[in-house]
Amino acid sequence: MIDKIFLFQGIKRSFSIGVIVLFCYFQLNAQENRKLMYTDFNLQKLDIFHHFGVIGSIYENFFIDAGLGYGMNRSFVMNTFNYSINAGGGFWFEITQKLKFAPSILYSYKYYKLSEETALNYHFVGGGYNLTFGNKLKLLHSARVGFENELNSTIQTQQKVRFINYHFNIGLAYEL
Amino acid sequence: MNYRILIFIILMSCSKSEFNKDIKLIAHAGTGIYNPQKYFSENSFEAIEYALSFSEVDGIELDVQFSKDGTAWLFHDENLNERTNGNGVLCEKSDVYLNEINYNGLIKEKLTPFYQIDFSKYQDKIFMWDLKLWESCSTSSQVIENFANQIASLNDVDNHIVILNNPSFINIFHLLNIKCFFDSNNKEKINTMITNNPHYSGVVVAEDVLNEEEINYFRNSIGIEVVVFDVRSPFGVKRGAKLSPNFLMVDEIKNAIPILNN
Repeated sequence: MIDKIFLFQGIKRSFSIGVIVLFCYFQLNAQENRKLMYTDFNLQKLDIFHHFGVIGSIYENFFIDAGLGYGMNRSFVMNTFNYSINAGGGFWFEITQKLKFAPSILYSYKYYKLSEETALNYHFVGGGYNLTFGNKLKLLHSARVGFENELNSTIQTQQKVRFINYHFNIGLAYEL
Repeated sequence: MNYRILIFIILMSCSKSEFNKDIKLIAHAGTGIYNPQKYFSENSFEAIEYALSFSEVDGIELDVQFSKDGTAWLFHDENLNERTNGNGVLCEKSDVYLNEINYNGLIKEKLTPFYQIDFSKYQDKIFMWDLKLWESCSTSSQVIENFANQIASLNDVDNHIVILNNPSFINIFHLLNIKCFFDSNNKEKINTMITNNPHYSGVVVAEDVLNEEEINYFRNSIGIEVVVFDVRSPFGVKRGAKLSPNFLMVDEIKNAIPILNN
């Protein structure tokens, strides 16, 4: 029974993630230039995440951001894979030729399997800014604050907790 | 050469847990005292509800103090100033005053009195009551007796353990068949206290005080149950679990559940 519930949740989750990833992929390919590949470390209330992602312009200075990552502490120390999927967007302002600033928003989904019985789903929505500095190879920084829901859905428990979370990212980006 | 080290680290990190599956997981004050990942204030009703909603959590440790009116309240510090919008020492405050104040922070949880907990929701869960009898508060034996009677009136008294460092009250609990544990980080003091007070049936020690052999000696040779606490980081959970205590009292339950269960 538990396996069936997890399977159903897994299919539902994979479908949603697939839609987001496909949307971002087609949007990013709609423009030939101004794409950034990045990798960053992302400090949150719950863990430090490592992400890979792409930021691409969709219309003039508007951009979207799609990334995949994993919680380092949870994945390596606690032996349970904790993945994260991010999708966001914003608008670039060119401060100088090298320095760009963007107010941005972000949706982040995280899945954390605690045991055979319990898995937690996290949904974060927040706002903040992105900064890039450099030419081809850029220093990337972003910070967001927002609300996150933790959903614990097992047979025994249906619990939702809302809390304030932050994302503080620092990493490197390469302009394609 | 370096890739071999990397493969070794990856294999070590993926290895399955070798811990004793009988270790009971206890949530320290619900969501921990000094836990930056916690959502709720320690000892609050919300923290209790949250911690015990996980089926993998076997129980909870809560701090108990008594108001001027003799009512048991759940609170950790001696002084209200640091964690709440109240002032002064809890034992000098009336129930009316304590009902009005709340924890600092965004959620501003109310202080929880013992009598407000609905134990019928938490059947089969273990409750450890850490009695904070500060020197500045002269708690009478009548107040302790009232508290012991409240516990004894609950359906599952076997699931309630009192952590008590003042042995002069131990008989009150012993007569009502309530288990008492002694809390200390000094090995000699633990040995002396256990020898002199046979009614103590367990000890509560920090993770770095006793080694595996000593815990094994307490458990199997003397028949004393051992609670290991001060377990905050995921590495702390692993170190604590390797000691094979009866109970592991952790600050962040979501760090401990995967390590103990997978």
